Amino acid sequence: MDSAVVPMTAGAFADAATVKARLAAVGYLADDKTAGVVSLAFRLGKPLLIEGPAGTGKTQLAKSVAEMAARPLIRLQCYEGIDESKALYEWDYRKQLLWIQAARGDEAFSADAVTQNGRGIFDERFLLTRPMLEAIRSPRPAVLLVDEVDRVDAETEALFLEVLGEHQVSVPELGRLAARHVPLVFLTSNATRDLSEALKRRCLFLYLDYPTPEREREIVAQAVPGLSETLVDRLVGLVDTLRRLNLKKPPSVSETLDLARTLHLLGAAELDLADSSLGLNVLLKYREDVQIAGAALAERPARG
Amino acid sequence: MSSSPSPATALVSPAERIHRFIDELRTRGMPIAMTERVDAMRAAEIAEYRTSDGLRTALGCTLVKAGGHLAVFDEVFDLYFQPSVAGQAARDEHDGHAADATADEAPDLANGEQAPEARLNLDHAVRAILSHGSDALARQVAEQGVAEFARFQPGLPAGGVMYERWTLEALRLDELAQDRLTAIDAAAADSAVPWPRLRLELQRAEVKDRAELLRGHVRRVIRELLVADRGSDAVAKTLRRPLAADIDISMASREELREVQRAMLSVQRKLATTMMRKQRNRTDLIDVRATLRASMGTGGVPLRVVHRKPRPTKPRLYILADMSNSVATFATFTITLVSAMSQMFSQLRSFAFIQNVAEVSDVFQNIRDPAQARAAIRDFVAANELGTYTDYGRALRQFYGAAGHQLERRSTVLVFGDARGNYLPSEETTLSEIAGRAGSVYWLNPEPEWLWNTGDSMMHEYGPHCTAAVTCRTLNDLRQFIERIG
Repeated sequence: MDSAVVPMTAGAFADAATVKARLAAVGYLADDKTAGVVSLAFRLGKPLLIEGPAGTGKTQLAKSVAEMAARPLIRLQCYEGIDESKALYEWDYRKQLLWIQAARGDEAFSADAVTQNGRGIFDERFLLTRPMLEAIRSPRPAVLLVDEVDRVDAETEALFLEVLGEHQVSVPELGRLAARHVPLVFLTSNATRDLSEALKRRCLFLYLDYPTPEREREIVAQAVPGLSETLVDRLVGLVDTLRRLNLKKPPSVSETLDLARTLHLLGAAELDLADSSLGLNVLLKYREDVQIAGAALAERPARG
Repeated sequence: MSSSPSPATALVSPAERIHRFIDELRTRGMPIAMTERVDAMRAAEIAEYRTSDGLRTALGCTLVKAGGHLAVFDEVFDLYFQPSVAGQAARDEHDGHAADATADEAPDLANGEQAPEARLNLDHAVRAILSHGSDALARQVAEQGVAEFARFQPGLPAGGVMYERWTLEALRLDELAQDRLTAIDAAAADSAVPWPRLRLELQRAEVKDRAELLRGHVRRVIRELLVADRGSDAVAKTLRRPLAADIDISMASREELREVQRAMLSVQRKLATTMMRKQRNRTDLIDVRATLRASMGTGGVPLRVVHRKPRPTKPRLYILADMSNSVATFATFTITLVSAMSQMFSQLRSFAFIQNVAEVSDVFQNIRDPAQARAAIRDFVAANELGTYTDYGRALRQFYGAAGHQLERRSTVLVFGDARGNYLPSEETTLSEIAGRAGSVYWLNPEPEWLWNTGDSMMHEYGPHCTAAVTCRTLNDLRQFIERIG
């Protein structure tokens, strides 16, 4: 299993501080814990399962890691009903049928030769590689992102286990296809269901929660440099207050950035009462949430 | 903090300490497999000890596999791994920030542990924390406060709660926090330009957060003292609390209820997903037309078989809940949970009763928070005069009168209660009629089974008529049960 070649970018993951610095260089502000876990995932050769509320930068982390390590990013977007043919590999039936029909006229055609390796229909040229197999067989070490793995059925999860645990795919007709380079695997989950124990055992775990106000300020400052400091403060303060309310969908980092960009676009200098309602409509995605938030902010009228 | 390690903690190799730590986590209820233990050791080997958080990260990412377990992990970690020398070094760096709080410097060398750092004027320091917030300063204040006020006595089998209370009272934390809040309100009132409501709200929230920060530090310092005195295992045993999903709801304290509420949100979401999936996955009939169409791509050979989409049969749920004090908390939780998933059921009607029955479906309509629900129910019960002592027989009769005509094969009836009817007639015939009409009747009892049929409990009369009578005390029980009926 460990006979794969250690890639040249090993230095980038040497320790937490290096990872943090390199991620910051490509625009992703990670905290120490995240950087530490990414470094450990690389050094231990284990996949990383990232859980957390929507919009906190789980997918972006994988993309940024791929960018900073100069590796190709191979993405598998999971959905309910995904199966082996979309995740691992598929045989190109049409091509195989055509080939058989074309070869039938050939004199050397024999039924046995058709199924032999290398000459017949079960050959790598008829194998359609899907993301997981692609990540394993990639000539360059890659980063594999399995997005929203909690949307997958429990039965399909079992298919991922071999890839994640042993970095190989078993194709019944071809045998075991081992990894040329061990990919760095990221799995993201919104925790809409419990993942199976077998999957969790094979992964390291990282919980990406909402950032602290200080870090959120840094993130906004970096993404939207044109905003004044007071405005960024007010914005982060508003978002922080909203997260303490019991909303159906609390605003996450992506919504904060959306509002920051909106304010920048509108050239707003102040986030005052009028803008707060605009802010609520950008930050919150449910009407009931907007009502609850509006009511909560109105509870303490400004004095004076 | 304390100079000599007690025999319990001395001379334990790091590996052994990690093993004990993992054992404690398992005792708390965290499922840690053998492979995860091995991973944790490997990670600890290559973790960075330069930062005190390096080990925490390494162990955390290998042992904690669910968001809800992080709090337990942190708590137990603090018991087994004291802040190391590195932590002290980090604190020394921050001494510059602490300088502005040490207004009354009185280097008191009598207090030996504080010798290298100047003693703080605690009053000043607490105010500084409440207005500016500083983790390092809070830690310093906590250490000094505990040293002076906690009256810690090594060897005494006292819990940390007393020490914590004495220290916080002596520091006057609540008073100073209230002072600060009043000051903020005054500043808002006096300001020439009216403050936006947001700013006021935010500043108040910050003060509360910082007070909580200081409280947390005091708690941690006291724990460290206890651990140094008695050893990690002993302290861990006294602190052992179950995970949120395993807390017995009817006997939970207010703190624990809050934890269960927090856990409820994720349970709601997961239940909703599981039940939706269950409905969609019942496919066993082949959709011939779609299969033939799909086979066109493969030359008429049906290599891909398409199944017919199932038409979901949503059950109709009727809930009859005992709202007398002993059972009310539990009933409220369950109804809130179920109401949040109202799309799963084609009809959901809930009834509350003590002596009389009243329909509460509207009360739970949009409430997602069990605390709110509890308050709403309390108001409802008071307003509608549901009575004071439970009468199950009468309640069943009234329920049958109100909803009996709607019951049919697809209906499910859930009854919550301890079946304690104060020796009044049980009217089990009514229950058998209900069970005859409805598809299934379940009885959820928050008492453990060995308490059934003791005293005025009538489970033996009601039980035979129910499809199942189960004990349901924790969030986990609830969840498993709901998955079963979905």
